[in-house]
Amino acid sequence: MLQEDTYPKLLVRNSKLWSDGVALRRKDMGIWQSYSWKQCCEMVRDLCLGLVELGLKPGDKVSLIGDDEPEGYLAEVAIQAAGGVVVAMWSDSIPSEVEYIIQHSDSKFVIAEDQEQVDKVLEIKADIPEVRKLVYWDPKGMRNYENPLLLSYRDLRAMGAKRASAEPQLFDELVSKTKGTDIAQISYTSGTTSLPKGAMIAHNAIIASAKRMHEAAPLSRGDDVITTLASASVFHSWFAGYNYITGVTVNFPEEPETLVQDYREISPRFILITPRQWESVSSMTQVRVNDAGYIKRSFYNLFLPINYRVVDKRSSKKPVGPWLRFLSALGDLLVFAPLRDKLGFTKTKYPVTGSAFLSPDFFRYFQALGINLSQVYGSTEAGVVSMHSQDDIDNDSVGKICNGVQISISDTQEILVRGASTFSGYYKNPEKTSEALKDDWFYTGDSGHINKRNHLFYLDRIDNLDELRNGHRYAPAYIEGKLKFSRFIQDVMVIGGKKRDYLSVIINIDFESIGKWAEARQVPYTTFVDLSQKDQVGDLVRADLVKVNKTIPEASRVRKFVLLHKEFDADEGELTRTRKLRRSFLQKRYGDLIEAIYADKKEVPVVTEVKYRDGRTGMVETSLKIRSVYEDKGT
Amino acid sequence: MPSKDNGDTPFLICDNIGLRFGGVTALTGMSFNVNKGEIVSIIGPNGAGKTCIINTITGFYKPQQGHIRFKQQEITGLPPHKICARGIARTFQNIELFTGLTVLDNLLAARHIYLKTNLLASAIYLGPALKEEIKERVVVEEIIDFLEMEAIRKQEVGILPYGQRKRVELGRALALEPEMILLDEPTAGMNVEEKEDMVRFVLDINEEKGTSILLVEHDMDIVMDISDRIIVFDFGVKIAEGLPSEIKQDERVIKAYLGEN
Repeated sequence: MLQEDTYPKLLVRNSKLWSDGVALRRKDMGIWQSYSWKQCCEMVRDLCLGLVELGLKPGDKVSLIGDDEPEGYLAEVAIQAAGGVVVAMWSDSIPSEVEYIIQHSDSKFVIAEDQEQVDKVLEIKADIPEVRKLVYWDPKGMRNYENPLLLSYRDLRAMGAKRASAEPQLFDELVSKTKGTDIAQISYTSGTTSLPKGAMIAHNAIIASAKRMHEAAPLSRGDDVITTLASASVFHSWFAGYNYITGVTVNFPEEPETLVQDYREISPRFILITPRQWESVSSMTQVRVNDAGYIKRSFYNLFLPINYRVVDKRSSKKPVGPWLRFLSALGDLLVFAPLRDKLGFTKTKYPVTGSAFLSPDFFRYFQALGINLSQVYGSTEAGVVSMHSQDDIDNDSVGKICNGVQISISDTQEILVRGASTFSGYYKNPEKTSEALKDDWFYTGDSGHINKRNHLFYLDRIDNLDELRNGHRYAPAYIEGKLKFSRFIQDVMVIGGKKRDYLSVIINIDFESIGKWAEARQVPYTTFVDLSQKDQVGDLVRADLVKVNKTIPEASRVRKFVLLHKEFDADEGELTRTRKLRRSFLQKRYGDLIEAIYADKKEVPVVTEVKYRDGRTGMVETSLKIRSVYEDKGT
Repeated sequence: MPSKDNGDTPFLICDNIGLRFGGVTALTGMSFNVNKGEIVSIIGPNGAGKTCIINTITGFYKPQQGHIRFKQQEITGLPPHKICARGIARTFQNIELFTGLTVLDNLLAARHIYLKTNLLASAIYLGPALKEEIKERVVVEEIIDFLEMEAIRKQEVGILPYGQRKRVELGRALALEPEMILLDEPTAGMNVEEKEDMVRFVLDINEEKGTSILLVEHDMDIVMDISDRIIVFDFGVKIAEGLPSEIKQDERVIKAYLGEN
């Protein structure tokens, strides 16, 4: 049992325990630079006292916006050390979203990364009068800003350092006053249906979740991990537990663009990325294999089916014969070990996905590459609920239920969770709180079931489960997940419902992948719009639809599809910031298109905005082709 | 903010420059100044002599007539490397980089004017040579950070797309730590996003380092947007000079660009 019940207390403990040991590493000036526990603790002390000097009181909220960098990471603990509450935002949020969260959370201070984020906050300055200071950590381009609201990170630290030398005991006193039952952060949930809600999470809940991850995927001090999780993601806070509780070294990539190189240099022991990111790793791998030379490509094509057979035998608990085992080892030596090295997975013991649905096809694929992908299931409100350990992976489940979690499945198949990791309620929203929390049970809104081995199975959001006119029930996310395994499909939405006789899909093509395919076959195209409506592309996607249709029940098969002229976009409200579909919005927005599909039309006109190369925008009228999966090819 | 016109003698003075190639006159009686910290653009139709004046200032061409003074010193007729050492750097219209070297090596190569160790010390690569190498790497890394080139640091220049190569060229000019940069069509052939990035870099260089900038550019939106002053060339003669707002109204400029009628 830990004595320290908050991350700030753990940081102080680590600084005494491991003083010069490496806590964080960041790539700067092309070199991985280390920060010791002592340095980190001093930085946090200065930041914390700087905020106190500015007037931060226990319980005050501080908003944070920027990419995940050590400055922001340490600022989180600094805020908590002063008794404050962290409100982290997605770095790609648009100003109106930033405004809503700053206002709703009553934030007194905002800590932002750079000019881009500062500009967003300054744009809405008039509407956030409660904010007293806007602190930024990257001074690039900030030379000529003269707003009195602004304060540089460096100056904040200097203020704190001064206070620390005047009152050397103050920081320790503040930290010792933090309690596990205090609220550590407010996480605004993405809100697939309504305005975001602010889930209040106590230190205790975060630490409980972090410990559950440790149990399923134990790491030891000095192991390397890379952080790629946006600070607004609650996974980020749990992940930090490896750092604070165990002393795992967290590595910060140089820039988002250098991630692939940085992965390869560090080869982290534990990788937790979202299904979306795994999907892009998969399509990146497949695109690269297609670009590779003849020999490499034929080895890959030769050994992949062999590994698939091994994976299937293992998952059905059948023995793998010596000949197959030999071939698989040979394939690993020739193709898959070098491939894993390129991807940075050489030392990875725990490749993990979580937070949204990832089709079992991806698990199978990665396992065939020798990447034993496992899953963690949890949410902002529930905390970590279940997770696979490496010796007990079931591709269809979302993991074994963690120790200390109580789960019950309601009559409506809803998953209910109770335990130390659940949240404390929605900020300033008692109504929604009482809907979601009854007798300490959290109603997840997810539907699923548990098997005899205590594995949890997740189907879809309850709201998303639907049925066709003939009463056939289906889970859209399941079918979408299967379709997204195609490297030509970037995103997809299943449509159907009680008024319809069959399912259809609206597809975002994977522009990069199909673009390469088109170039290789000398199919000329100009823009995304043009490419998406090519008949050859239609046939290409149709072939994958037919393949997927064979693996799902007859009644759930997709009959018609449309290749959309654009990608779904979070800035237009079509996706949440975690890149989940906002179904009801999409269904309204593409209502005409959906009507046309079921009215058996062949084409539907759309007006779309295009950006010319010189920066002007214009409206272009085009028509979307509605295609059938089975009959009348080439319409 | 560095003051853009401190009232002293101008930073760069071109006085009555005349340049001929055999019987062809490229520049006639060309006179203009650039003050410290100023962004001055040269515009004009094709063949107006814009690149000629850049080549003349940087010593690639020797003018038959006139004087060029930089920081109150005569630089007319000096060879390019000496002019470069005085603090004038340039980029080229048609990218001139070592295509077989990495971005990092291209930038390090530009630092040679600051290297002091001799061949022997460098060959042994101990003590002073190593220290110097580290010092230069720091400078180069700062430029990589400034121009956001982290992801391409170790790639060969030859395989980079055009827009990024232009960025490397600018980086190389910066590696010389110049007081003045001459940019020859830095955004030619770029798409909108690349152009915006380039313009932002040029402004940042000017603001953060106080570097004077002489810009040859065809994109009028960019020129009007970022220039403190504009000089208009036509057939090797200066036909107008003034603030962007004045140049927009100037009849001679409109005529030179749009023709007589």
